[in-house]
Amino acid sequence: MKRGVANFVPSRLSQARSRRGFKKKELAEELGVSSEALRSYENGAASPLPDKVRRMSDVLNFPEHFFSSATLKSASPHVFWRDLKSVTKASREAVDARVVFACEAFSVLDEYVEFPSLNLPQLKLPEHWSDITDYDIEAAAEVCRLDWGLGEYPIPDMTLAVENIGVPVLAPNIDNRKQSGFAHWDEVMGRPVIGHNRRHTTAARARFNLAHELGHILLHRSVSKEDLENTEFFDYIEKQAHRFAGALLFPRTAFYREVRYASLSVFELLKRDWNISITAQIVRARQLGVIDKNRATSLFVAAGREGYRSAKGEPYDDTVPVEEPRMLRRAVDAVEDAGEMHLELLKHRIPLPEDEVQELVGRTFEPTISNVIHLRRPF
Amino acid sequence: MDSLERLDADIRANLSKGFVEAAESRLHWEYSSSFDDAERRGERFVYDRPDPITQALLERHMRTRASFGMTALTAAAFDVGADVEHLLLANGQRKPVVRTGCFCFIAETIHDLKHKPAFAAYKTGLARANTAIRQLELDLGDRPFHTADWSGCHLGVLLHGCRGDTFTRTGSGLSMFRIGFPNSAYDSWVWSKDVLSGQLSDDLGWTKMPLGKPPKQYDKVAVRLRSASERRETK
Repeated sequence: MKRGVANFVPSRLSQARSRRGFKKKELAEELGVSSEALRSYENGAASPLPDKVRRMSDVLNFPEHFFSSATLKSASPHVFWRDLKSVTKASREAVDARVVFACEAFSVLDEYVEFPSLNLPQLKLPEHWSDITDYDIEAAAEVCRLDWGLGEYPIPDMTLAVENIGVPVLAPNIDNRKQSGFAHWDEVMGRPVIGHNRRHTTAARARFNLAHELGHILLHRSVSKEDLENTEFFDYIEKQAHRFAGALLFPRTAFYREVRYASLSVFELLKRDWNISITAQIVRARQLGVIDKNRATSLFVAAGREGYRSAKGEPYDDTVPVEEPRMLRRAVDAVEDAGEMHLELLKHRIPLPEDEVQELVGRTFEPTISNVIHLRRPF
Repeated sequence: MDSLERLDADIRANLSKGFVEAAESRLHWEYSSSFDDAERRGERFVYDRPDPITQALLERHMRTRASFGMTALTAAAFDVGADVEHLLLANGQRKPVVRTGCFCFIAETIHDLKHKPAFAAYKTGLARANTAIRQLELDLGDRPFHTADWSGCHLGVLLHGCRGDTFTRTGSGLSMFRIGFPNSAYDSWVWSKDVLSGQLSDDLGWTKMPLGKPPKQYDKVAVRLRSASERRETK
């Protein structure tokens, strides 16, 4: 007979463990149980006793009721990752868990608020991703700009551009700097979600990452999990998304017009206007044939010498603020406007720790507006 | 209208933006070519302090920089379909002269932005054509008869230079580019503007961006609270 907490949800333990980056053995030690016992909790063969659940809550810093809340989805999300090869499985799972949390939060919020409808640009692209040419990608980026009414001008706010078409943006802090961005098409939400790593980023890099991930969403619906596991295919897919990001942020015609001579000082000036990194502009110049391979190499060497590729960073990196997502935060604000008790309800229905909610939504479920009415003092 | 006013009016009306831009672009490439070549050959540079190799490379760069201007001038002429004549001087040098509209252009190297016209007989000869009254017949030397017609042309000079202090990308790259129009004695500039700082394009109204304001990006991320009945339905 199974003992322990009756409504314990095994997958919640796996999610929380992945999120906090614990290995099974490490967590088992922290909980004071054997590795076998922990494995049985995670695969549903056994349920932990209430005191073990309390311990889990303390160690993993998740509310107790998180471990007994039903999950909206069971499958692991199909996420496009940058630098797949150099990211460990544990790092990927940690962020996969957060993507699941975000999707669940969105689904709960969707019951209370009406989000902007999904309005992806209609692109004429070949059926299979491998048939998409550079020309198709440039044309796709131009269609996006046309749809958004941006012409050949810099995009003032890339995050807003993405959220305007109904795609929620996440900006969590991820420890691994190689995990710069992710994209996931969620079947339950019926829309994609994209995100970038806020911890190791700059405004220009974050914008490029978002454009790159949007490229995956628009160009790579036909990509299968098997395609991503093939190194050659993966590199090609990444290259396509990079090309899309460059084309979206700095369209071909504008680049030819603005870059009369490719040098670091010219790119530095253009970075101020277009908010696209100097190194990304060197790549763009190479893609468009403005410079040859040797010139691109020498510009990269010069950029390295100037410290642009080190922790020092590029000019304007420390002055331009990183763009903020707004969709999920506005949803919680709208719920709060309806009454504080709804926030309490959200806190219960989205059983995540406060720091996690803050990172995913951009605020906590604590009321921000005081409900104390100040009466005028009598004279 | 005196001759200076006429020159100014002609520049405003007829100086080709395409020609100036093409010359600027080509000058950048030409000036960076020495450093690019050296870098490609894998020269081991010792940055921030002089050493014999970079000193020799710098000297060679400075000796050949006059050719950068001539190449840029010719290339820009080809870009805009202007005529190019080559003057064969008494010392055997060939100097390109480009005629575009009512201007003829030559190139000259400079050390600083206060540079005064550097005297040369052929330049003075060309400068004398800086008047609409005079019909100049230049002794080109490379032809049996004087066929080149420079009448009514304003002589313009592409003044170009680099810092030249160190053999680095910035030290050897193009850092000065002005367009000057000399007087007929070729001893001072009557009209001169800086190209790299944008002085020329600002003065002539050559705008960098297309006219019109960039479109405004509207915030359409509207999140509406569902009514109580809607909420019940979705639960």
